[in-house]
Parts: sequence; C-alpha cells; structure tokens
Amino acid sequence: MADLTLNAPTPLSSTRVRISLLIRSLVFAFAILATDGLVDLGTNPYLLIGATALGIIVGAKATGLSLKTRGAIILAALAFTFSHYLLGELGDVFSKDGSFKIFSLTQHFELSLLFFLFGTISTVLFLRYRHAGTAELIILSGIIVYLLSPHRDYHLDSPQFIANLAWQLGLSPQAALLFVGSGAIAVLLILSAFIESSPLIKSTFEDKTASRRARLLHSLGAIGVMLVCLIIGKAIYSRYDTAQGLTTNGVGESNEPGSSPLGFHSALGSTNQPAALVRLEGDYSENPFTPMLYLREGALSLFNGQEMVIAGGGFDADIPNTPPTEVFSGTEDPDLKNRKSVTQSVYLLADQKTAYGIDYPISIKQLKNPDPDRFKLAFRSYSLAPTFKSEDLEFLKTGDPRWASEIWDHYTRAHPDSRYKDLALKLTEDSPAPIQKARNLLAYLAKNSIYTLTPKHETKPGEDPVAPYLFGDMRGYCVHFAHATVYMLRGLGIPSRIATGYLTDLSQAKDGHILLRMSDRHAWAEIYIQEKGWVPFDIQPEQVESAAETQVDMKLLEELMGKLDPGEEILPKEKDEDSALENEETQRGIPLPSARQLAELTLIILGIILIAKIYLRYSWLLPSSQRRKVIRAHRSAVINLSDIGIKRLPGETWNEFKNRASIILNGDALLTANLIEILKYAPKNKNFDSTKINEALSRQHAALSQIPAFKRILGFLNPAAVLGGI
Amino acid sequence: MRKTITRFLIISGLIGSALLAPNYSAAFNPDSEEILNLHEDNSDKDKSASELLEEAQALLQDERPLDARTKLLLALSKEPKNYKPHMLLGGYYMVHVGHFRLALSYLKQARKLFEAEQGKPPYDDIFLKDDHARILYFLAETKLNLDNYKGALAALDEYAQYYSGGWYPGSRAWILMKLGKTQEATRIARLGILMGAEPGRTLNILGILLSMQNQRQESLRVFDEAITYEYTLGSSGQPATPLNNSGEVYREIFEEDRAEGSWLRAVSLPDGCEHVLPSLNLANLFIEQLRFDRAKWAMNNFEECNRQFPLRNGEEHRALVHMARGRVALHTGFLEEALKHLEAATERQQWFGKIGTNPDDLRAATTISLAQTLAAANNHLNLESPESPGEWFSIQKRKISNTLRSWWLMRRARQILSEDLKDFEDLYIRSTDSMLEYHTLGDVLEAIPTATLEDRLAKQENKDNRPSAIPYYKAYLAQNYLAHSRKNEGLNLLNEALSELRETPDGGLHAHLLGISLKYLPEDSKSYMKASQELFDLAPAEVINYGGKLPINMDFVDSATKEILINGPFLAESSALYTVRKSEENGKPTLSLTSPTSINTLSGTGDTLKQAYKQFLTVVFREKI
Repeated sequence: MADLTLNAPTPLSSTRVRISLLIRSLVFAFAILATDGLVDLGTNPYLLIGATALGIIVGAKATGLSLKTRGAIILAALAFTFSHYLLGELGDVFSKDGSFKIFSLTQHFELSLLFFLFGTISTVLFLRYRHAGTAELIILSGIIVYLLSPHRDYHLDSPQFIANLAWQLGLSPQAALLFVGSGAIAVLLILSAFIESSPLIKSTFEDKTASRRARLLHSLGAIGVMLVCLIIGKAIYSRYDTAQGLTTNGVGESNEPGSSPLGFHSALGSTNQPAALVRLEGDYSENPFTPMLYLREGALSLFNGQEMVIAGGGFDADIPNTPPTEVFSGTEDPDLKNRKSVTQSVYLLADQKTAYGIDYPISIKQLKNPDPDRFKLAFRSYSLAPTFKSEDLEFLKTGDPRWASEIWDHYTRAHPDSRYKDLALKLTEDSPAPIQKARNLLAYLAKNSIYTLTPKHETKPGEDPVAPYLFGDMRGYCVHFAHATVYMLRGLGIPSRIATGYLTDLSQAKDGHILLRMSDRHAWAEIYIQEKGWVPFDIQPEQVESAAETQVDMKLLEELMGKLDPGEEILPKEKDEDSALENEETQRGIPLPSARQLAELTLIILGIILIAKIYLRYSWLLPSSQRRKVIRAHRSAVINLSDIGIKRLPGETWNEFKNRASIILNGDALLTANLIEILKYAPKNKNFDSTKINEALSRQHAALSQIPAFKRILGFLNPAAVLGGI
Repeated sequence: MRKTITRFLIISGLIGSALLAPNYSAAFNPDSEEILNLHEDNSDKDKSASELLEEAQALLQDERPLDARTKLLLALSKEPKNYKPHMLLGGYYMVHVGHFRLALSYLKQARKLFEAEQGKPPYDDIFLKDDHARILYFLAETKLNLDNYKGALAALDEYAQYYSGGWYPGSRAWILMKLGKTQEATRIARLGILMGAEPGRTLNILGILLSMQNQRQESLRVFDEAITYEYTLGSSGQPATPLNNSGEVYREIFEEDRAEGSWLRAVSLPDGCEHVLPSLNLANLFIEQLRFDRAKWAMNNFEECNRQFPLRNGEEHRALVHMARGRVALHTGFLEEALKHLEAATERQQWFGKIGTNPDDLRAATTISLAQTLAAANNHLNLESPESPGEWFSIQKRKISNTLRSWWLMRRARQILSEDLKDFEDLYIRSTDSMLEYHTLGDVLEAIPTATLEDRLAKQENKDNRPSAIPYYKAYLAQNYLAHSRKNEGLNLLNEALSELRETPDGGLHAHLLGISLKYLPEDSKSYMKASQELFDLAPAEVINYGGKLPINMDFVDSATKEILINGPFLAESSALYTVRKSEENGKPTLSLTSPTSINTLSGTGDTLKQAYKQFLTVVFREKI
C-alpha cells in the first residue's frame, strides 16, 4: 500500500504547520533560557536553542518524507548512541597531551546533540501521531505546575525566579504569580489551538477548512477559559491579600481594640518575602537580647474570656499604634532606668498598617522615600532601648507601684481554666522571686515545646485554642507560646501581656542594616518590671519540627543598602569595568530587559516589518527583468489581499485562491496569478509587455478599492499581515 | 493707594507662600522643624563637616561604627563636593563593613573630587599626598576584593608612581600572583624584603609564591620567619595567617601532623577566627582522616569564636562552613542534614579576593559533594520499605530526581574543573587553593574517557615527586577502569593503591576504595566480606552510602526478622565478625549488633519490629559525633 504521506503536502509548506512549529520553537527557546537561568546549563543556551530549532526543522522535513517514523526514531537513537561513543573515542585520540580540552568540547557537543534529537523526535511525533501533541501539552503543563507549585501554602516568595521577576518589575509577588500563571495558561491554550484530533500532515483541504472553524471556536473557548482563570486568579489574589494581612506567620496586623491579629490554626504566609529594611542609625551594643532584636508594633493585654486581644482604653499607652505616614510623639517615662536613645530608619518593602521600633518608640515620623520603585515608604523611629543586663533583672519587682488597682487587675487577669495556674504553681514552687518564676516557666516551655508551623489543633468556636498545645501535644508556634506564657504568668499574679512585631537576628545584619522578612513576624510575652518597663520573656523551643528558611538573602540586602545612599547628585553611578563587574555580581535570577529596551526592540521590529512590507508591495516598480517583475507584482497583490484579511488557505492552489478572492471582492482580484501560470510554462527569454502587468495591477486595485480606505490603512499597518505574502 | 499696596502685598504673600509650600504629594518634609521631634538628637546639625569627620574617626577608634557612619553621612550631606567624606566612607565600607561595591563608588567619587579640586598629581602638600595615597590604596584593595585584579594593579601602579609604602611590594606581588605572573611576583616580593618592606605581608606572599613553584622547604622557612615576626608584634600581630599557610604547605607535602599542629595553633590565636580558612583546613584534614568528631569540633569552634562579633556579618564564610558541615554529615550518615548544608553552600556567595582560591574552586567542590550526597541518598532510599502505593511513588520520584541531579551536577563539576579551572589544574593532589575532597575525587574522574585520563595521570605522576600522592592517582585510574568495564584491571589497581596507603592520614581514601570495591565484588565472595567489615570499622555510615551490605551472624533471629535484615543492608554469613541478636526489652522487640573486637553493643528498640529495625539502622550506620 502506498504511503499516504507521498500524496500529502510536505509539512513545511503548510502555513498552519509552520506557525505551530514556530510557536513550539519559541516555547522551547523560552524554556531553555529559563532553565539556564535556574540551573546553569554550562553550555551557551543560544547554541542549545539553535540545536533544538534545527532539530524541529529536520523533524518536520523528515516527517514529509516516506521514511517511516518509527524507523526515523530508531535511526536517530542509534545515531545518538554512536555519536556519543565516537565522541568519547575522538576525545581519546586527540587528547594525547593529557589535556581535557577535547573532552570538554565533547561535553558541549553532547548536550547540543541531545537537544537536537529532542527537537527532531518530538517534532516527528508531534506531526505524525494523533496524541503526541496532547502528550506534549500535558508534559508542558506538568512542568509549569511543578515549577509554580512551591508557592502553595502562602509561600509567596517561591519559586525564586518569580520572586526575582516581581522584584525586578517592581510588582508584588502575588501579582507576579498571577501574571506568570495566566501567561502560562495562555501559552498552553494557544498551543492547544494548533493540536487537533487528526495529525497535521494527513489532513485534507476540506478537513482544514472545517478545522479552521473548529480552531476559531477553540480560540473563543480559550479566551473564555482565560477570562475564567483571571477571575479565579483575582479572587485568590484578594484572598491571599486578606489572609496575609490577617495572619502572616501567625501574626497579623489588626490594631482595633477588642480584636486580635494572632492566628492559632497555622502560620500562614511564613515566607521569606521581604517586609522592610531597617537601618540602625547608631550603635546599640548594650542590647540585652543580642544577637536578637525585638521590634515592637502592638500589644495584647486584654483577656476577653477566650484569648488575648488589643485592650484600648488607655492601656498599653507605650505602643504608638500609628500608621507609618503619621507623626507620633510619646512621652518619656522618667522612672524607667537603663535606657538609651536608639534611632532606626525603616524602609518598607511591603504594606504595613502600623509603624514599629525597638522597644519604646517615643517618636515616629515619615522619611523621604529614597527609591519609590523599591520601597513603599519610609519612617524613622526614635526609641528608648533597654541597656540593662538580663541577669540584673533576677530579683526586681514586677508591676509599677504607680498603677491603680484596675491597671493591676487588667494586666494580671488570669485565664479561668485553673490548669494554667496549677501548672505554673507546680513549675515554680521552688522559686521565690517573680522573675525566677518566669524563667522557670520559660525553661519548661522551651524544653517541651515542639516548634511547628502547622500544629493543626482542632478547636471549636468558643474553645480555648491554647489548651490543645499546653495540655496536649505541645506543638505550636510563637502565638501558642506567648499565650501560654502569659496565662501562666498571670496565674502567678505577674503583670504580663503579649507583644507583636518582628524578631530578627542581628548576626545576619550588615552595617546595622537588617532585612526583615514576613517570617520574622513574631509574638512574644512581656512582663512589666519595676523601673525597667515592659521586658520580653520569649522562648526558643529546643525541638523544631518545621520552620521557615532562616538565611537572609545577602545579595538583596546589599542591593537595598545601595538604595539608601546619597542620590546620584552626590554619588554618581559610573559605567565602567568595575560597574560591569558589579552588575554581573548583583544580577539575580533570569536577566530581563528593561521596559524601555523592550519598547525599543518592539519598535525596531515593527519598523523592519513595515519596511519589508513596503518593499514587498512596491518592489515591482523597481527596474528588473520582466520575469522578476511579474513575480514581485504578484507578491504585491497577495500582500494587498492579505492586508484586508483575504489569505490563501493551507493546501489551496493559486488558481483556487484567485477564484475565491475574486468572488469575495466581486472583481479580478489576482490577475497576476495568470501571468505566473504563463511564465511557468513559457521560455525563459520570453518578454512580457509591461503594460500587461500594469493593466492587471490596475484591475486588481480597482477590485481592492471597494474596501474602505481606513481598513486598508489599518491593514497596511498590521505587521502580521506580512506573513500572508510570504 | 496704601490699601491697594497692602492688598497686593497680602495677595503676593499668599501666592508666594503657596508656591513655596511643600508639595503634599510627598505628605511630609523630612527637614521641617514642625515635625522634628524633641527626642531627636539634633546636636550634630550645627556642626561643620570637618568636625563631624573628626568625631567619626574617633568613634571608629572606639569601635562604634554605626555612630561613625551616621556622622560621616551627615558630613557628606553638608559638603557633597568635599572628597574627604567620600574617602572616609569608602574606607569605612571597605574595612568595617566589607561592602566593596559601595566602597568602590565612594572611592571613585573621592578621587574625582580630589583631582577636580587639587589638579592632577604630584602634590607638594604633605596632607594632600597622604590623602591621595590613601584613596589609591583603598581603591586597589577594594578592586582586589572585587576580584578585579587588573584594576587593582592599575591603582597600585599609580600609587607607586608618586609614593612608597611598606605594604606595596606585598600587595603588588599578591595581585601579580592572582594574574598568574608568578615569576614577576616572586621578584617583587624578594626585592621588597631586601628593601625593608613590611615583613609580615611580604614574607607571607613570598612563602605562598615559593610553594607554588615547588620550593616547599624554602617556603616553610619563609613562613617561619613571618610567624616569628608577627609574634614579635604582640597583640597587633597576626600570626594566624602565616601559620595557616605553612599548614597548607605541610599538608601538600603529606606531613599531616605538622599541618594539624600549625592550624591548631592558628585557631587558638585571637586572629585565628577572623577568617575561616584555618578552621576549614583543619576540618578538611580531619575528614580526610575519618576523624569526623574533630572536624565538627573545628567548625563549631570557629562559629563560636566568630560569634563574639555580633554585628559582623558572617556571609563571607557561610558557604565554606556549610560545605564542611555538609561533608561531615554525609560521611557520618546524616544525609538530610548533609543535603541541607550542601544546597546552602551552593547558593551562598563567597568573596575570594583576599584569599588564594577563587569562586570556581568552591563551586566545583560543593557541586561534587552535593552530587555524591544525592547518590548516597539513593542508596539510603533503597532501604526504605514503602507502606502504601503513595509512599512507593514518592520514593521512586525522589530516586529519579536524585539520580538526574547527581548525574547533572557531576557533569557540571567536570566542566567547571576542565574549563574554568585551567584544564583541571587541581588534579595535582592537595593543590593548596583547591577545596576538593581528594580522597573521593575518583567519582568525578570515572566518566572521563580512559585513554585521556591515563595520559593525564601519567603526566601528572611524572612531575609529582611526592610518593604519598601516587596511590591517589592509582585509585583514580582504578575507579575509571571499573566504570569502563575493565573490572579485573580496575580491581588489581585498586588493591595496589590500597596496599600503598598510610593508615590514619589516608583513612578517607581507604574507606572510599573499599566502598567502590563493594560495588564490583560479588556479594558472596570473601573479598566482599573483608572489604565490607573493614569499611564498617572505618566509617560505618559509608557502608550504606556506597550501597554495600554488612555480613552478619544471626542469633535468635526469627525468619521474619531475618528477611527484613537481608532485604536491608545486611548479608547472612556465618563466619562474619558481627552478630545481630533479637531480644525483647520491656516487651518491645530489640535488635542489637555485637562484635568480638568491641565491648559496645549497638541496639535499636521499637514498639513494632519495623520500628525497632529502623532505630537499629540509625544506631548502627550513623556516627554520633
């Protein structure tokens, strides 16, 4: 039986096939570039793109031949194995000097060959087999899902390349994720529009006409799916925003009296997403918590019968509770000893409702934003930071003798569940002083608690969410630890509260610059100590089940530090060999062109296309041989038609096209086709009368002039229409 | 008329004030007196730039760098066209912070402003000379730290045109060495010594240069001089640097005891933990000798010592610490920890301008260690017994991913070594700058075409006059033969290499070769049993890392337990040294391993047999250090 492909057009002659292969080439090229950005391929990615593209072309050509596909695949595999072997042998032959240079070259060749074979085989399969395209799509979708999946569970800074992309484009990570996700879906849909139930090379003209309608429907469906995806994405986006605002790392931002920003279920959004850059404007070597630094943002001192909430009503007056855009000026408590003034500048990288600072911020004011593309806004806090030593607190009294009884009651109101008090009494029976008691409690919690971001305690509404932790599996995170500490302290009559804000590790700071991440959001217990004020009493569990990444991105920190320095007028940025070196070192993730570069590139491409179009349209007017003139005139006519949307269909002969166009335009649309026919069978030296050409063209123009002028102008400006003439 | 003028003045005033009023889009004016709070320290606002600069320098001497930085920046904002704040900020970011890119920006601007103000050099004024020399010196040092050697050399040359300094020959020689001009560098260093240049720095670089030219005894003598000189300086001396370098030379000539002595002395000195290298060298030496507890101690000791500088950022050495910790974890059987450390090491940046090595050395070393860990992780996964199809799929997925990543990373490492590191110059065993783990380097070389490797190793052996290096070359070739289906040749050469090894110093290579042989020997052979038991004695974790099995006697072991053991990393062998016994402790199944040569019994207990077995494996094949 004759091979069907012999009667079919070769794949590369079909526009549809060519476009589908072009799209596949672009997708592969992008995938190779992205892979190189992620894993460092070691071989020039453009060489690999070239090898893959060549493979695709060879695959398409090979499919058009009568060679059976299976045979082609087997031959290709054999060729690969043999060439691999040959390469090894060649390396041996030419490396008699003991050099690895040939070996090294073979490594590049080997990888290029691998990509070439991938291009060839995948193309053959794509063009010949009914489900190969679908399988390719599924694999591609799988890869995309795999690459994007690390952002689950609110890890919005993952995957890293999207975080980098967001950073470079000045977008929020959520927006970048949405953008990349929608883009990926769009590419998949476009690709799927070119994959049909029948193999591309076996379809007949009629089938194609039918499938053209199907493609139109498919495209409309794809647009619909895209819209649905965007709507769903938008909903997820706003949910992320809300969830993150409520309980980032278990510690949210609510500052309304009677409410709590803390979440008990799981530490949502425990992510390395940058939150702010804090710069210490002076030395603070007396920090009693070195190397840790507490930045206080809020306090929860009211027990509402179920959990700790923000008190309001004049309590916790040391908390500024001020938006970063407003000025705050507190009063200095003269009775507080061992404190020094420490100034911090905070440059916000994410939205922040309330300003914060070390310990007692007594003044907050907004600062000029040094780089609005990077920072949301900036403010400066002046704090009275503690300088006492932790061991000096041992025998001090708690509470403040100036407090009225209702204040005492407020800060010592115990949990009604007597188990908290009982446990506290049991753990502290040998300790006479309150601070010693507190230390005993902390030691117990640190020893027995298991730190996890997902404790997954099941509590019904109205139930105490801390009891399953303290009297249960002891699994929890800062919110559980802080609550349990305060309940037990209050059970002992020690005035205490929960503070919220950030806890950061100064050993990861550089030059007093600290990069705060969302994962640094923290809640901790505090005790009021006479003449010292509110002092953190926090625990570090000895057992850790799951925790967020703790290393700070130092490249990012350095990049941000550079943004705080004097402006260009004082410290100009020079472009020279050192700057080039700097750029190379600071470049993060996939290199992206700037918006301006993209715009310029687009304009250049459009310009080239338009020039090409002008040439294709009017080149027949240039002096040349009659034969060439006819061909050019024909091409000009085809482009004219293409501009107004009349294109030759795949598999359509010129005569068929001419007839169809003439019917549509109700005139002689493509008379040059006749001339071409004559030329094809005429002797080479046969001269044409140029008036024939002019006549044919003027009749064509007359037919085209029925189309409104504005449509023709728009058609002329449409760069895509140039494809119709090729 | 007066009313009209008054009205005009009022209107003009209103318009004027409206025009001059701050733009509300900025929402504030940071310098507005209304907003400035009383709590803010405004005492510096009225000071002149020169006063602020003086105070900043005093603060730097008092080790209050952040206060100093704030004053320097304020001085800069007051006089942005003055070169001095730029110069001092450049120096600050270079010396105190180690932010070299920022330092370079300030220094370039300092130089530009200086020359715009004072014209081109030379200068007559002694203060101007001093400042100009300082800018050039800082520029050279900063560029060196950014690995821009040519730029650093140009700045140094310009310095030498007008000034002289005791540090100059040492610095110049160092940069020339970095540029590969060893002969010229040696000449400069020798001349420097003759001309009375700063001895510590110059002797140190001369010692390095001599060792690079195979004059190791001479280099050790020079390092001794440098060490003595630094000791004479008292508390300001830095003997740890030459001690570290002499340790490296001792290691290179296979005098490991002396190397260890030098590094131990270095890390016990106050400047010994200012840089990671002595501790890292010590850790690598201990790993090579299978003394993993000591290797871990070396890194712990460094980190504890380094913690005394709370405001100093540890980023410069983090990659190296991760690498050392990852290797210790790998060889002691803590695979997950090893993966975590080595993944972190491959992601971290390291600055190398001031040390002899370069980023590609670290890249190659961490890539290989990571690939080896992934391969070992697969051998551990082979021991897992999935309880559900989901678990089975998860294990298969991890195994495929590990295999692919390991293959890919090894491939990349070979590329880095042969392309970026001068045609694999580190194949010279214990090359000073290299961070490779030499005893397991055969893993990288096994995929090289045999003839190529044979030629290269022959060449290498010919020019290497260190007898202790020869077994390493033999071991590499043996592994390559084995990987290329030349089993008999490979095993013979492997045994030859094994017979030439020294007991403790070559412990790492010994264990590696035993591990490799387990892959090629038949499990029922006596050679296999001998190799496996020997490997278990040396480094228990490596038996599983290499996918081997430990021959055991079984005592009171029922058939179900026997099946579990045999499907795991054990071989039933009646003549084996080790015996596994099953018993009950408090009603719980217990598995214990005993040996006639050891009084210790290793036991694992659990609620079920499976749990007891899991615990047993952990106890037996992990080294608790």
